[in-house]
Amino acid sequence: MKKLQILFNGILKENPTFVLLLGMCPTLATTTSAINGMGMGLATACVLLCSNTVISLVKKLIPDSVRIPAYIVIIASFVTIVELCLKAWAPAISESLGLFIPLIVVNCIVLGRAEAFAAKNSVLDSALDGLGMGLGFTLSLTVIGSIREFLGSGNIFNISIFPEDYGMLIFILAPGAFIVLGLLMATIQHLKNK
Amino acid sequence: MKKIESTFINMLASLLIVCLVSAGLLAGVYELTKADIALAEKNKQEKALKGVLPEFDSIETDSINGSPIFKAFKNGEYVGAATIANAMGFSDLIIVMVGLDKSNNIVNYEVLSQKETPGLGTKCVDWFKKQINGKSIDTDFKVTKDGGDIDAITAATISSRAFLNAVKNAKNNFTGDTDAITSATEVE
Repeated sequence: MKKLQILFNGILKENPTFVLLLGMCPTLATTTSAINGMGMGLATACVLLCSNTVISLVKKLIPDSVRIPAYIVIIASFVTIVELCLKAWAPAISESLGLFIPLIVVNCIVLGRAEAFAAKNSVLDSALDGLGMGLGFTLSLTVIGSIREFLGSGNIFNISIFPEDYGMLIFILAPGAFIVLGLLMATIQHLKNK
Repeated sequence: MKKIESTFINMLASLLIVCLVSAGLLAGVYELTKADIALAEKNKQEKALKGVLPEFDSIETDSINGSPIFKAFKNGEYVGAATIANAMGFSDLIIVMVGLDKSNNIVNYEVLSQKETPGLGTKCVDWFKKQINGKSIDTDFKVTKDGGDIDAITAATISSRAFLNAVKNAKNNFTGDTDAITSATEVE
């Protein structure tokens, strides 16, 4: 099925983090723990789904020369809506993700998919693409977050696996994000080339 | 339908419409969530007050030189007070609520907001509870590195200093002293 293919494209074959290498800033910064990575991924997925759908709906009404500013305004509105909703109904998550929610606006996955997919495809396909990319992003961030949290503090999703004193602190800090991301990418490339 | 051409009028009109619709939508969502956001803030503050003060049944909000002071009463009798103070941490302000009993000993504290390094500075949320709870607010809290007797968080001395500065600022709130300590990186 072609529709299913669009959905799964973002999760595996064109995974935004490991294959397209888009949105590296939030990937490196918010994956200090599994739950933070997942929260960031889901918030981005929500924005991606909405923005892809709406942009695909209005793509013919927006002249080419001003499409980027128009897309950015649409994306920024959805990000602000998600931020307000999180603040009102999930204050704990909004607090731990802090600054990174407003920064979804400049996440290149969102504008990238708007430009590369939603501006050329039908509304349903664009929505599926947004959802797939969002889930792919969530999955990769959760995996990176889990590995960093496990190696750094001995927990996964705050469940203790080994005592925190034996954790390798570097994995919670910025260098650990690069190391984990690099190794995961290498592994995935290796598996793909086999 | 054919795509609209990029003439000046078309560009102007389409951007204007996009902006207007977005603004309208945002205004709607803002109105919708305003009450709940205020409620969440209020709940957070009430929860923090319960955590840092001795048992109380009423709170009187006061302010000294602009700093909020929450006075707690039980059966009409004064049992303690809390205040909110901050200091610049490693990456952002650390905002702490500190509660005192009636003889000015620290009952407990609650970190309301911080953006310290996860796994390091973030430990200030609990790390100092054993060390400063029960001590007088007038104690000169210093980390061992600066000649004091407070064990700093491992590998997060700056966050530790910042936290202690926030506690000192809380003391200044109670006394009305406005010379706030803001920097944690330099030590005289």
